[in-house]
Amino acid sequence: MIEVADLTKRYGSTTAVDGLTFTVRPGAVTGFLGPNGAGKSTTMRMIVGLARPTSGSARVNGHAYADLRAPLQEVGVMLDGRTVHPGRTAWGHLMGLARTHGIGRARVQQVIELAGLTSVARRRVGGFSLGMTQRLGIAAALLGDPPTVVLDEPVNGLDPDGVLWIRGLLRSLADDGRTVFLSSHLMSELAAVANRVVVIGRGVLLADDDIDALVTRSARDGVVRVRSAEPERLGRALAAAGATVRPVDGDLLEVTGTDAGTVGALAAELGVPVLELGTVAGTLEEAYLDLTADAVEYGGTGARAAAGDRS
Amino acid sequence: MSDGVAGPGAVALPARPGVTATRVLRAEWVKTWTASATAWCVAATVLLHAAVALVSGYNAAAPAAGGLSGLLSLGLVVSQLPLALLGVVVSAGEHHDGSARSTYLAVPRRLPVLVGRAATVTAVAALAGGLAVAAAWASLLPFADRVGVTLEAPDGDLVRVVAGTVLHLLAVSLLGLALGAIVRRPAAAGVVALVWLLLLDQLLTMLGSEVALAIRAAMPGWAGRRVATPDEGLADLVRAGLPADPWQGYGILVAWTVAALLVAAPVVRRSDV
Repeated sequence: MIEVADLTKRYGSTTAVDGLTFTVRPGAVTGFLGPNGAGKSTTMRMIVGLARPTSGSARVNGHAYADLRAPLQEVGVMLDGRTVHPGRTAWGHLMGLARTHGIGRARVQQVIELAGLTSVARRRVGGFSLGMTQRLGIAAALLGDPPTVVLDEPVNGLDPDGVLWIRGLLRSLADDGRTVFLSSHLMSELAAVANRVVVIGRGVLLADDDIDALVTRSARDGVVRVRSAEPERLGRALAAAGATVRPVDGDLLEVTGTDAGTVGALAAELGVPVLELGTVAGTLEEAYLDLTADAVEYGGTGARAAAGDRS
Repeated sequence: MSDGVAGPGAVALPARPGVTATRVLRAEWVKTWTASATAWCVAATVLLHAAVALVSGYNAAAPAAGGLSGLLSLGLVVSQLPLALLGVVVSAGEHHDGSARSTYLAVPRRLPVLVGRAATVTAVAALAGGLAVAAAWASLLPFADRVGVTLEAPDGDLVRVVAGTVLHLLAVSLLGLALGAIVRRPAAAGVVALVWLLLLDQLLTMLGSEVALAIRAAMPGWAGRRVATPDEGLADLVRAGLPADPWQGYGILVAWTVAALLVAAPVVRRSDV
């Protein structure tokens, strides 16, 4: 359980995180989404005591992180970026952490196997690929068998095998009843694994919801696409019936304010042959783009319009 | 946590969970002793200290000032530097490579880390100091028949000078540790240590004015080395009208070190990493 209350971080005149309040519950995978520079990493660093909030608080399993007696056995943390001395071996790094908690060598060996690092455990971390470094980060996070894990961009740099592995791992942690909180800027990745999602932009909370509910709210959810032999006649009839019609290309129309059954019935009445008829399901990506449309810190405008594919 | 990928009977978790001072000390102890910088700094200390003794023994045309005590402690001006730098690297190095974040995630109260490092660095410096004096003595043996070399301490100040040499190295390494913890950038903190302990002394000596020499007497490197100065050298200081009490001098170094550690503590505890 992670409880963030009115959390704020200012650097000089810049407000990186602005009054965030949300709760991450056990037994689910909660995604943490936001554009680059939205304050995701800063928020996570405040949750685990590496950065001091300007105001507000963050509590993990009911305590401020710094007050935990055995933090590695309460919260497993994997941060984005370098956190290991390049001259140390994977084994040496994990042993160094384990010693602070009196965790034994057998557990270090266990997480090394779990993370698939057995063959490189005695090699210097400086020579690791990004994927191996990520796996070492996961191993460190699981060292104390914690009920809560906080992972910043865990799939970065993993190969497809690694991505599948981590999806399975996160799901099984959540099924175990643990709290799983992970950030990502890859929507598809989060959609594949998360049940809930917290979205921030420019340090402000934009959404804190079930992924399904969020997707349903997206602008394109429920849009009816109909391809017919006579798009113009059908379009006029639909507009007359109160729907909003947008010709897409050739014989395809996108219709909002109605549903597929109504459109099909109307086409049958008119005797217009329907070639294709369906309802668009919203995606997390679209919902996310709707939410963060105004909150992109570093935006290339053209690319964004193309990604959104909205007029 | 019963089953699942991460928890099929997680083994070897401690019966009494928790971060303790002893556990943190053990972690920092192993980290420091297994870092290659430690071996380099100890080796550099021993070699520099012995080299100075060797060169003075080889070149001495007349009995060296202070006799054996003088020869054994002469190298301290340069041999203190690698240990000061070791202190800097032990506390600032992890900020350079990002591993400070791992360390503080495991020990979020942070101060036990500083304490554990101070204890470890003290032990490393004691070892290096002992080896340095022993190596200096060994390097004099081949020249035992030369006029400038005496393997006897005339005034019975040998114990104080040898102990003082080691004590000076201890304090200087802790001063480096504190500087590294305050500045957090190893290169910058290293330069500060180098300038403060060596170059500033030289500069003030060159200036030579009464004010300059008074300032020099209050600087940690100069003051601390009085405890490792033979009686003969101290008598010279008295004749020059300069502060000469060896333990008072060491007290000045210790005061600087304690002050620096007191500044470092809140920086370590409170700053973002």
